[in-house]
Amino acid sequence: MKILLPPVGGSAVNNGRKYFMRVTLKRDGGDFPVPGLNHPVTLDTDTLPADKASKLEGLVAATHFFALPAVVGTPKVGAVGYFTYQITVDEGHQCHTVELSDFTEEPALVALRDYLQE
Amino acid sequence: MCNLSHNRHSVFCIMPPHILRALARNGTDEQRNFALNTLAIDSTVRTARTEFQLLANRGVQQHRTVLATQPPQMMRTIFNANHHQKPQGKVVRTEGQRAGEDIEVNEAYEGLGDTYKFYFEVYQRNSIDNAGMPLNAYIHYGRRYDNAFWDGAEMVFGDGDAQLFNRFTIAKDVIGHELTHGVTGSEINLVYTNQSGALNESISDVFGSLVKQYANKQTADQADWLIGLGLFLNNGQVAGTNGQPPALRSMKAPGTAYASAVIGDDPQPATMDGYVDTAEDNGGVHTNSGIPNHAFYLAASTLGGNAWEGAGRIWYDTIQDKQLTSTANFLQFAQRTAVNATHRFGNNSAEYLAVMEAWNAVGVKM
Repeated sequence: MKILLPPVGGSAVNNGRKYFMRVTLKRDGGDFPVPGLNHPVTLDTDTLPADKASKLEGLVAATHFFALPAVVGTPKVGAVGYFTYQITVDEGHQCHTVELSDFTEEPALVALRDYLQE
Repeated sequence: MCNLSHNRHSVFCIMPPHILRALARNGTDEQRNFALNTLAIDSTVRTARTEFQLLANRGVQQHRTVLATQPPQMMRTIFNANHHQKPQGKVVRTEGQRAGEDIEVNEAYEGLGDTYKFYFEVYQRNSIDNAGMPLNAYIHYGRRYDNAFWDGAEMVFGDGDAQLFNRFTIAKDVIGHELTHGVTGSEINLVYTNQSGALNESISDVFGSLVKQYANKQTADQADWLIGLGLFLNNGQVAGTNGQPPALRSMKAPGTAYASAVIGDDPQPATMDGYVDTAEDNGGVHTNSGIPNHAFYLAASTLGGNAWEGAGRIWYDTIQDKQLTSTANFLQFAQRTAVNATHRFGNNSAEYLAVMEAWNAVGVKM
């Protein structure tokens, strides 16, 4: 795995960015799951076009991701068959995974999830 | 009496629901809007009240006593979530209102009705909780949302992703499946992990299939025993097997419902030899459900006739069986189906023998 520390003093440039961000979405659950559809999806700012990389960074920043708890949102009592999502953000020097579900309402986190699903 | 021009809703006034429904059907635009919004609030409050009572009393008995004097009646409300991924939205169809142009609204409305009628006419069950619970459904949930689920109090339907999946209102057994999660939650309340979770899933497939068979007036021999027929889009990415169109699951032949170079093949086992130990999908609840599904199919097809009368009756008795806990495994559930077959149909009855043979055939040895 590539590790590139944030710049100290001077700047390390990679795809025009100071350091990389790799965001992975894994979906599980659902009441009619097809196992072949649940492969993780990863977006890497190193390989995205500059505008999409900026958008991704903006969406992640809006969530204050590294301050979030491990699980966000509580399913309703008796609910079954909903989707759960694990989002992992890896910046090399820090990495964090948050689990959310169809019941998660935090707008910024939902926006990030929806963007990753597209 | 409510003053319509002040738009007060019936929680605070005395407008009865049947008048509101008549206004929704026949009123002016202003009256229809008032009636629909009021019915939506009524339904939400009634549902919330039901939830509160169930949680507060930790059981259904008191709630049933309170409502036992009211005649059973179906109360359906369809909401348009308008592609938001949360159960909120505008009321688009209420009980008794005629069909509109949105096919998903109409399919959800009919499917809720078919499920209510099945449980009431066959087993004398008054709605999901056997106490007249309103049936609410949200359609157009999320964007390209390829799922439907029971949120503990109401149903949610996605439109599908337009690549693999069709709209989720298209399959009557899917609607019956989801509402049966509510029935299970009201009765045996099986924990949604590992074998108890696979039983929870299987019970929903069993009664979802029976809802479809009852609506179509099909015997066990005539039924296709496929779950979710029509959910896969007809674009060549997913195929059926054995000359049948693709479906999500097969109770008759688990593991053969679909085949695809894109998403792989149907992973369900038919017997305990194929039981899957996994951490995914809450311990494989949608995979290992193939085993009890197949047991039900075998029992029903051995008995012949209408599946809801023999095997279905035994399974319905079993989900109400107080000897079973919420963590029951396959063997414990199977044992109680055998006991309940005896209670319902007699010692060494054809029904008892069919149940015993079925479980033995799938490898659940009693």
